[in-house]
Amino acid sequence: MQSDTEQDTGDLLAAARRIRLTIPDACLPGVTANTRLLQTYIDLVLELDLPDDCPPAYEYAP
Amino acid sequence: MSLTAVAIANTVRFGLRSAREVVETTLEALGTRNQTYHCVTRLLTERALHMADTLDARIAHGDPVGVLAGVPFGVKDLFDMEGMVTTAGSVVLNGNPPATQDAAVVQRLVAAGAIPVATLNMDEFAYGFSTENAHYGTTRNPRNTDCLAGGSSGGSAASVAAGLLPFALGSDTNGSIRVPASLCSVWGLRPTQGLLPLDGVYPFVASLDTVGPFAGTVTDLQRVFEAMNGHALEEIEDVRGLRVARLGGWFLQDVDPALLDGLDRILAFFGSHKEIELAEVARARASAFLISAAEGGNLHLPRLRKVPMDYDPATRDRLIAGAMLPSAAVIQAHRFRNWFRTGLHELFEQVDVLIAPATPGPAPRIDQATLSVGGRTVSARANLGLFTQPLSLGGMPVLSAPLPPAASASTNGMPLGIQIIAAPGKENMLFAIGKVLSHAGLAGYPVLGMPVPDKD
Repeated sequence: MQSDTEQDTGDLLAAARRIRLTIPDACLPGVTANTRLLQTYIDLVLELDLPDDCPPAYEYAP
Repeated sequence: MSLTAVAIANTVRFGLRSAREVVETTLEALGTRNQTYHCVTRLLTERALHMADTLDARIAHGDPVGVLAGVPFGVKDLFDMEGMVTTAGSVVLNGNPPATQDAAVVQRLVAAGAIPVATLNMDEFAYGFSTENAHYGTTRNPRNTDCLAGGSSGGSAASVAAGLLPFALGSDTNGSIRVPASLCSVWGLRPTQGLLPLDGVYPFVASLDTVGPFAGTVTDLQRVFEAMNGHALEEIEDVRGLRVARLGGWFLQDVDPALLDGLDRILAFFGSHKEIELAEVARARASAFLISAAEGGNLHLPRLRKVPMDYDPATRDRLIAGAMLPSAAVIQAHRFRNWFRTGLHELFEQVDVLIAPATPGPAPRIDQATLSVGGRTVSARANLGLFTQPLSLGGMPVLSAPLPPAASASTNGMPLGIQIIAAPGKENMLFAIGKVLSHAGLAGYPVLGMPVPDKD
């Protein structure tokens, strides 16, 4: 049975493979910490229901 | 340097001092005092002296010169400077060809007579709020060199606060002008997004990037912004009649008491008691984080595949995590941005100007670079933008104004700064407010070597 940490690392390496990126071993702790932090922001943003007529705002138009 | 940009330009234009003398003095000061602050990455000695001599010859010949004639300035190390490789605070781009021309805003300042003399330190690729750079060192706060200057445009803010340069250029994606301006107690402007050209500026987050100036006085800041923008701002007749409100809720959490006192005084000056609480600020900040991480990560992905170990470790690990973000989150963040921005812009039907802290408190110590947020201790590098980052989503112009020096036990004498926010395109309101506050002694902090802030 995998620990949570092993599962996290496995998920991280799989996500990296999907974008053809190899994460050096030395970077794994830092990348893992940052990924966990970003997950808290993902959770926060995805919890909010937005109306269908609210499109993405990639650019700024005053 | 210890003279304002306006004063330098006047002495040079009227032949009281040569541009060469101004530039030589500035280069000498940068050469000798930079070891204390670590704000300069490269001196542009040969180019600056050549430009000064050319300007002096024109003045001697009676040719017209610009409003910033002979004024030395520095640029954050992500602005293209002709003939030099743009580093963006990294060594990863060292193999790039030299820039073939100056960045567009630098060209405009040069056309106005200003003379670039140095490139300035920053967080690598502008990804941070502290100017702790593994390649070029940590920029120190001139108000107390044991403290952070803030970032990512820390070299720009510190060089102005130290009195080494009358003005400098930086970039602001999530607060990279407003945070260091606040911690070093100088004036800084994040202009309306899209107003100033970004040609020749190394990108970080295309959706949020802006460029703007730092200066020791609000008058200098306006003069420089006008040169960057290509025209003078329209005057505001009745500044005291502007509707001013304070941002509450999120923007009052964990704030130093001296900062709250400064905001109270400003609100009282305008006879206002109005406080506005924005909805969903935590999600706005989260969205800015996600957009920044994703766009920054994607920008660097090809190099992260090839040379990850050449990056500053703190930047690299954030960029890698960002590059892997799922599209569902990033698109949702951009949709939220649209929703939040619409609400922010609607606020300006009720008020003309909003005020808020720029950072929760004074500059953290370099050897203890943390903040207390919501009862948790978090890194300063990632969190000094607590109050600036959410506002970046709105695209409005924001003036970072230093509060005046005050004896406060909570700050150990270190400076504090506020954000003054107006509707898009209303930079003239910001400068009008800044000048009236400076005149009233409610904003402005003397740069080192200069006795008093401007009162005009």
